[in-house]
Amino acid sequence: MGIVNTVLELIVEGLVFLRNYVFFPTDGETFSLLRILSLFIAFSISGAIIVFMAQGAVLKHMGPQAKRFKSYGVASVSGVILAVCSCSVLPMFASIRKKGAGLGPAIAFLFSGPAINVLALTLTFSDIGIDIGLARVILAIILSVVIGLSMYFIFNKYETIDPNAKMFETQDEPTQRKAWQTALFFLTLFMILIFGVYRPLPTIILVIGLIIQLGSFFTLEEIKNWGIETLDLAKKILPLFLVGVFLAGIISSVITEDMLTRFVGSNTYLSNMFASLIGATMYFATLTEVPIVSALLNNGMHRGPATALLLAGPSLSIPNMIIISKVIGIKRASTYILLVVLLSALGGLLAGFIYYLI
Amino acid sequence: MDIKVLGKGCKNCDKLQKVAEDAAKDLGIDYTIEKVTDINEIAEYGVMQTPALVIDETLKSQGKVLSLSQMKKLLKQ
Repeated sequence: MGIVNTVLELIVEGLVFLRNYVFFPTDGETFSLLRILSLFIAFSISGAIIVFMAQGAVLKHMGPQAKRFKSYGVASVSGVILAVCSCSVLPMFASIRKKGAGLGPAIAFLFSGPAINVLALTLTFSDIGIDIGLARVILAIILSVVIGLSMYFIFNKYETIDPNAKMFETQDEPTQRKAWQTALFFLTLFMILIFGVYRPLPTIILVIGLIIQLGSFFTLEEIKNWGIETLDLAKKILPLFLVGVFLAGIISSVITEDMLTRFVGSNTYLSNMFASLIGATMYFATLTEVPIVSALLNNGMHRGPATALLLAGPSLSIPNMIIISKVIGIKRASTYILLVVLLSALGGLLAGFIYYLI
Repeated sequence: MDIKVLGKGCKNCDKLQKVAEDAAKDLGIDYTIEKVTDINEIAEYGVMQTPALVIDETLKSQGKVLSLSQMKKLLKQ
């Protein structure tokens, strides 16, 4: 009976947390409808990226003929456009490695992709804070190049790039739109996201501008595709995300403040290491890392280790490790995992000091 | 005709396979269809986005579920 009661209590805790997250945020200034709206805007941007951005143009820079250092740069930031959902990262990783620019850029993409997609960033900025949000983007990009280059220098002599590789010739669908029109459209969308629901006046003006652009630059078919893609993404990600919020509720009632303060309550190398290790082994479905880290922060986790967890978390998990070792072999995979854990901990430590200074 | 659907067992892969089967049946083409789920094999075709469609060992489309008419056009080539 005791166990059954405990389990039931935990489930109730999780459900209460979920209800509060969606309907009654406790921090006063954020009203949940606003939160849902900004998530909706983020989903729309992601959908627009899939439909309107020329992904083939980006992929070309990670192909077999790409200039070496350029390909690292492109790989480290292209997650914004390519990795709209972290589920799509692994096949791309395998292809860049086998048929494209090789191991180094593939690794750089694998590490930064899940951390810098629009949805993950929006949620990190709005739920956790600007400081950790910025640290997450900047460190993910820098560390991805460092880890990619390290892998290249360690394993370079064994790597051969397939000279006949003909991939990355993805054809983008022809469009009537000019580049500046697409750019203006995305600029407007991002500004709507930034001004959001807290500053209604500029947002309304921007939305009107957006509607005018949609009417004059886009065909009905394109707008329809955008809607379908946005809905598809939301259907794929939201259910798992709500499960993540529910789990965050359970975690915050199981893990006491005492435990968190003891293990990750200060910004030491050891606590960052601990957070980074947990992040690397645990599986986070797309976006779920955010409510979980947010709950841990409220219960006494230091912002340094939280950053370490966010860095190592989405790019690694035990199921992920198995697939990665299938693609690049156990020796390379374990080197990669080691690098991620060590450097994420170091990144968290550094960020922890900087938050304190500011 | 040898049709392959590449993808790690997602919902869209099943949809794409169904479209391919329907199109081939409508056109009365003799075909074999195979699902490729191994990530290394998928990468061999240079696929970046799944689900992808390979017809007679040539990559024809990736990252989307084709409509029935698009699929028929590809199969007729």
